[in-house]
Amino acid sequence: MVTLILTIAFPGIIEMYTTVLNKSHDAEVISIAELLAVEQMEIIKADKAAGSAAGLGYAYISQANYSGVNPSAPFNAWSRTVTVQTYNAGGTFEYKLVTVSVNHDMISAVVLKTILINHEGLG
Amino acid sequence: MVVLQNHAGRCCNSLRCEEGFTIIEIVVVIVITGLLAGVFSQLLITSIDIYTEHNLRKTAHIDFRRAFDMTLHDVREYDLNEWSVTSASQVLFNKYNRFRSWGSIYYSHIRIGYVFSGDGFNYRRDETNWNTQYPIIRDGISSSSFNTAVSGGVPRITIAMIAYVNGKPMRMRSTVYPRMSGQ
Repeated sequence: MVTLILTIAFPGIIEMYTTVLNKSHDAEVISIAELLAVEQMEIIKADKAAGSAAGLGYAYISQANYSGVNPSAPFNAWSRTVTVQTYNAGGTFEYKLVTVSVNHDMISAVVLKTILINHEGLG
Repeated sequence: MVVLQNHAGRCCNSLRCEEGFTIIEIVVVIVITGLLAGVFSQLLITSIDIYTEHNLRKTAHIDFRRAFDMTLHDVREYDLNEWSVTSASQVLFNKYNRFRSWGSIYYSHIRIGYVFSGDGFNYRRDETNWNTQYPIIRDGISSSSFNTAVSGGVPRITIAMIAYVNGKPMRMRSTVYPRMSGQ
C-alpha cells in the first residue's frame, strides 16, 4: 500500500519541486530586468537632455531611433523593446509616452513608462 | 493426515497451501519501498540544499541592489563637469554646499565617491586622503567596474558588478546620467 501511494505521488512531487525551484529564481530575474529597463530609460532621458544642438533632444526621441536595444552580454537572456507614442502632435500640449519593456522567458514583462515634454526654448 | 482449510473454504493438504506472503514477496516489497524512500530522501536533501543556496543568493542580491540603487541615486544629483576622477574602479565627484555670508553667496564642497576596493565596495569622503570610508559591501564583489559613455554631450555612467555566491556569478548592470548636466 505504501509503495502504491508513493508511486502515485511521485510525479506530483517531482512537478512540485520543479515549479518551486523555478519560481524561487524569479525574484533575481525580475530585479535584473528592472535594472535593464532603468538603463534604457536613462539613455533615453540623457538623449533628450542633450538637446537639439547635439543632434538629439526631444525631437530625437522616436521609436525608430531605439529599435535595436536588446541588452548586451552577459544579459542576452533578456530582451528589451522601446515604444514611443506621440500625443497631440504639433499642438500646444504635445507629449511623448515612452515605454521600455524588458522580457525574459521565466517572467512577465517588466515595464517602465515615462512622459517626455519639450523643454527646449523655454529659456 | 493433516487437512487444512483456508479462508475461501478450499482445502489443502499441506502447510504450503496456506494464504499469506512468501518471503520473496516481502523482500521485494521491502526493496521497492526502500528504493522509493531513498529517492525521496535524496530529493528532500537536494531541495533543502537548493533552497539554502537560493536563500543565500536572494539575500546577496538584495544587498547588491541596495548598493546599486544607492550609487545610482547619488550619481543622478551631480553635474558631470564636477567629476574629477572616473576610472574603472572608482567614481569621485563634488558635493556642493551653498551658503550666504555678508550678503554674498559662497560655495564649498567636499569630494565624495564610490570605489571598488579588493572584493568590497565603499562609499568615500575625501578629507584626509580618502581615509574616511564607509563600507557598503565588505566582500564578494570582483571584476566590478564603472564605465563612462558619452553620447551627445551628456555623459552616462554605466555601473557593472559581478559577485560570486557559492562560486556562481551574479551580475548587475545599469546606467545613469547626472541630472545637472542636461536641461
